[in-house]
Amino acid sequence: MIKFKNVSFDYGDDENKINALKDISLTIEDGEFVAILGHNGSGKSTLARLINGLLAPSHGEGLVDGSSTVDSSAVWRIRQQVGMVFQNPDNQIIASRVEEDVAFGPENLGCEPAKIRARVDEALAVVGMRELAHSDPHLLSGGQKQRVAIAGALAMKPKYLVFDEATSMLDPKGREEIVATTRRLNSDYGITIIFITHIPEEAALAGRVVVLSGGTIAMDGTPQAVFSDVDAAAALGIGVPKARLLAHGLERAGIDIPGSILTVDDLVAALC
Amino acid sequence: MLIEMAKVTFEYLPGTPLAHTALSDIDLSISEGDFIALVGPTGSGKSTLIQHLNGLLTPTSGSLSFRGRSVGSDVGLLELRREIGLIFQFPESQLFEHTVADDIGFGLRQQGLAGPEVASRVEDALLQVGLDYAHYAQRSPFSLSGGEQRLVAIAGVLAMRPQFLVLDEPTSGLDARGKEAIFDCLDRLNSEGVAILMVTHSMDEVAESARRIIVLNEGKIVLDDKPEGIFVHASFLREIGLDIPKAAELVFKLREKGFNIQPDNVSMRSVVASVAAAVKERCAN
Ligand SMILES: Nc1ncnc2c1ncn2[C@@H]1O[C@H](COP(=O)(O)OP(=O)(O)OP(=O)(O)O)[C@@H](O)[C@H]1O
Ligand SMILES: Nc1ncnc2c1ncn2[C@@H]1O[C@H](COP(=O)(O)OP(=O)(O)O)[C@@H](O)[C@H]1O
Ligand SMILES: [Mg+2]
Ligand SMILES: [Mg+2]
Repeated sequence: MIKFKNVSFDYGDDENKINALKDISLTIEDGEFVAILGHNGSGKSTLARLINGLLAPSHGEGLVDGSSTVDSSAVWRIRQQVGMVFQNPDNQIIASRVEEDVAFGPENLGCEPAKIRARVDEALAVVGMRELAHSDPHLLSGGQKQRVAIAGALAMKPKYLVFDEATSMLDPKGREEIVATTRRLNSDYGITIIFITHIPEEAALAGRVVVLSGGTIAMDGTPQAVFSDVDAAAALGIGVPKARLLAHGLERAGIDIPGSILTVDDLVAALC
Repeated sequence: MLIEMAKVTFEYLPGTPLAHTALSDIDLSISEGDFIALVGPTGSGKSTLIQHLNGLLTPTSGSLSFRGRSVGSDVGLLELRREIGLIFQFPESQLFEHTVADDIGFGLRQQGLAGPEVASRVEDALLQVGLDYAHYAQRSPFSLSGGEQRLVAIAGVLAMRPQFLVLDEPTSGLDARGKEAIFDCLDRLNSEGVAILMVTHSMDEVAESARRIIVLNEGKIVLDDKPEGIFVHASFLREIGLDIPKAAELVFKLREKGFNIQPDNVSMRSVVASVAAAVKERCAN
C-alpha cells in the first residue's frame, strides 16, 4: 500500500519557493490501477518522484508498505519496489543489446548471474520482447523501446510501477502496445499501476482516476464519475474522452444519452 | 507556391553499412495559407521531411524551392529560416537561457531587435501559448514542468512571427488547455495568412483544424487529401499503425447500423449535428 499523509512539497529556496504539492492525502491499495490526470504543472511528476523517494516531502509523510520514503534503511527497498517508466524511451536506454539493458537493474542489486538471466528472460517474455533480446534497442520503434524500459523495471521485481507520460512520444499503435502491457501487468501479475497521462481515453481505462490541480487533489473517483461533468473537467484543464464529448454534444442537441458513456462503442450501442 | 519539393530522396549515412533511405521520391507543393497536418507512424520520415523545409537537411537527390526560388542557390539559409519557423520535436531540450523571458527573446535579439520591442513580443508570445507573463517570465526554464517547458519553446518560435510555421508534434505532453491554446493560436495565425504544417499523431486534433492531410509511410507520401477524403481509408490507416478521429469512427459505425449520415465532414461539431438529425429522423419513423 502507498499512503501519503498531508504531504506538501516545495521546490526552490525560501525566496523563490514553488509550492508544487499542497497537503496531499492519498491511499493507493495493492492491485489498483490508478490514472493520474492534471494540467501542466499540477504536480504529477512531483508526486511520482515522491513515491519512490527521489524527492522527500517538505511536510507530511509518504509511506510505501508502511516504511517512510525518507527512512534511509528502507530507501533501497522502496526504489526496488517502485519501478518508474518515463516519457522519453531514448533517455532510458543504456546498453546496446536489449537483454543487457534489462539486466542493468538486477546487476546493480548484486543478483547472481543465473538469477539475473532468469529475471531478464521472464521480464522480456512478459512484455512480449523475447525475440528481440539480442537486438540493439536504439534501432527499435518507440513502442518497442518503451517495452524494453518496462522490462528493465520489471526485472527488479517491483510491486508498483509508476508511468510518467510513458506513451506521450508514441504513435497510436505504440501507445496501444504500452496500455495493453500495463493492463496485463495489473490483471495477470497483480502489479499496482500508477499511470500519469494527459490522454483522457487512457485514463478512462483505469479503475480509478485522481485529478491534480494546482498541487491539490481536485477529483478522485471512477472514470465515469470524473468525466461525467464535462465543464468541470474543462475547468481543471484535463478534458474528457472524445466519445464523452460527442455524447455531451448530442445530449445538448436533445438526444437522451446516459452520462457514463466513455467509448464510441458504448455511444453507438446507446444510440441504436 | 510557397514550397515545392520535387523528387526529393534523403538517405542517412550514405555509403555506410548503416545507410538508410528515410524519404524516397517526395513530390510536395505547399501553398501560401495552407493548413496541413502531416501524419505517419513512428519512423515514417516526418521529422526528416520537416527538417528539409528550413534547410537543416538537404536532399540526397531531388530539389526544393521556396517561392519559386531554388533553396541552396537562390535562397540562402538565413532568409529561409527567417521566413520559416520550425518547432522541433521536443523543443524543450533546446532551452538554455537563465530566464523564460530571455529564452523567448533570444532569436529576436539575434535579429537585431532590442529593448521594448523584444519585451512586448515576448509578452505577446507567452500570452499566445496561454502562460501568464507575471508568473513565468523571470523563472528559469529548467525549473518548469515538462509541459510548461514545451509551451515556452513554442513561444520562442512564435515571437519571431514567421510566415510559415512548421511544428513537429507540438502538442504531445500538453494538457487539454495547452492544446487548445496552441490550436487557437494556429487557427488565428492561419487566418492572418500564415501557412501551417504540423506533425501530429492525434487524428482527433487533425480533424478539427487542418484542411489538408498528408500521410507518410516508409518514406513515401501515401495519401494527400482533405480530411474527409483521408478517413474513409480507415482500415488502411489502422494497418500502418494510425487511427481515425473518434467523430469519424462514430459516423462510420452508425452508418453500418443503417443510420442516414453523410461522412462528408468529420469535425466534432458537424458530426454532433448530423448524428442528432439522423437519430431524430429515425425516431420519427
Ligand atoms: N526542478 C524544479 N524546480 C522548481 N520548480 C519546479 C521544478 N520541477 C517542477 N517545478 C514546478 O513544480 C510544479 C509541479 O511540477 P510537476 O513537474 O510536478 O508538474 P506536472 O504535473 O508533472 O506537469 P506536466 O504535465 O507539465 O509534466 C510546477 O509549477 C513546476 O513549474
Ligand atoms: N540521425 C539519423 N541517422 C540515421 N537514421 C536516422 C536518423 N534520424 C532518423 N533516422 C531514420 O530515418 C527514418 C525516419 O525517421 P524520422 O524522420 O525521425 O521519422 P518520424 O519523425 O516519422 O518518426 C527512421 O527509420 C529513422 O530510424
Ligand atoms: Mg510531468
Ligand atoms: Mg519525428
